[in-house]
Amino acid sequence: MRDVLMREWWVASRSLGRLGQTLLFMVLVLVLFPLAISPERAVLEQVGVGAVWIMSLLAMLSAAEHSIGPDLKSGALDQMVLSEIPLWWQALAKALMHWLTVGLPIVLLSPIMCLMFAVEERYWFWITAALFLTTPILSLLCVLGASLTAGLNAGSALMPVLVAPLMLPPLIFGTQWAYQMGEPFYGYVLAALLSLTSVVVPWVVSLALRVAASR
Amino acid sequence: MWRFFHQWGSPKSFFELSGRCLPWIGGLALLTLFSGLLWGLLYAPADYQQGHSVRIMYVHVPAAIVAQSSYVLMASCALISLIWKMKLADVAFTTLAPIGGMVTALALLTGAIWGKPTWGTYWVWDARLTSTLILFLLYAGVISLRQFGSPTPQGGRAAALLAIIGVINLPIIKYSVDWWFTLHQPASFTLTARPSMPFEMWAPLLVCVVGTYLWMIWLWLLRMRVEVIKRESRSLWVKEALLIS
Repeated sequence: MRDVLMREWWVASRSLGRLGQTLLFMVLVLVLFPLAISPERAVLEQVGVGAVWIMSLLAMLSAAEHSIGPDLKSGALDQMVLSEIPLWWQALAKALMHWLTVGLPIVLLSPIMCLMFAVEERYWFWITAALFLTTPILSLLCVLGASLTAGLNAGSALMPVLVAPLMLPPLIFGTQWAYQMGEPFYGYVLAALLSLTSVVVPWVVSLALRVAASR
Repeated sequence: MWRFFHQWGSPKSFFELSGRCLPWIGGLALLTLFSGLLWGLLYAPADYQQGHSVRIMYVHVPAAIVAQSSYVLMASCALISLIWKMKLADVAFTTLAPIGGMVTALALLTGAIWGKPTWGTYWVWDARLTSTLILFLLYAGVISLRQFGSPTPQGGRAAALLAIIGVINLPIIKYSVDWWFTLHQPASFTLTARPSMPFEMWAPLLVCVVGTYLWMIWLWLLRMRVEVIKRESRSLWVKEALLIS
């Protein structure tokens, strides 16, 4: 089972260029927001937190297809389905790599993003903490979306539509936790969501991967 | 006389000629940059308003100037590579892009550091900063796109097109960002309008600018030589050159 993790890490580390593209996309959206809305500090402060979240969400969605797509194309997915290692572990490994290559850089870059959106400094820590708890949930959901639409022709356009409703609860609780500067209730809810998704989603992903492999 | 210029176009002659020039350019760059930075950082007068924090200007301004001009330079090489399919033009274009990106990042970072004591904030969405950030994104796009393509002028076509579109877009970007900035009328701070600097301040600045240009050229020639060796590694002259050196 550790080999599965190693393999996923090996694949992920080969495509770190994708990580660069994802982060570039995020910086691009970061530039677009003030250009389209207003560069005044007063306005940016209002939208800042939300903008950072939306950017993170978009970045994670854009990288989601790469966790499953190449495996499906190369036939590795069939091998995974047939192997004796549980498929849910494979799904968990994929989600972990997605988080390590996309989610964690977002968390680490969030202070800089907050800076550029003129978010008040007292929020910074809580935004980073909220992103730290929410991005794993989003990674799991991204892998879920990718596995559901793997192999479909219009799949990549459909995937955000599928998972966006699922991503709303973490988004809402995450932003609320940040705005309320760490009100414990929201933190507990987020932690509970993380536990729930990390148990349920890999299992659902394994079912979806079997469907995908049979396409 | 034209033969002198044409010689630079062949990878082998380029390698030999640049090998002879490189120590001189490097030495000159070191001399000017060192003296300019020392002069500016230590001996030039402090600003009456900003105090000693104005000294970062001697790093920030040359970096910004070189960042913008090297984009135009890179786009010219891309144009030559696209039209005439010159191998060396493609090498020049490919190797200049990361240098330009790095210098732009340096300009952005030093600008942010300068902004904190002067404006009270690391970043503000004003025209000049935004267009420099967009310049950085343009560089990043060209660098990313160039990776997808063989190390030949043919393989560099997509990235060359992107660079050329970017350079045509550059004045448009500057125009529109300026227009956007004045349209929105943000905050009460004033743009750092270039004050009429005394000689004691613009002289070291000029030396630093010249030094930074020389350094950029030196680094670029160095990278080009390495890239030429990589691409022509199967030819006889490379094998001989490597054995000799």
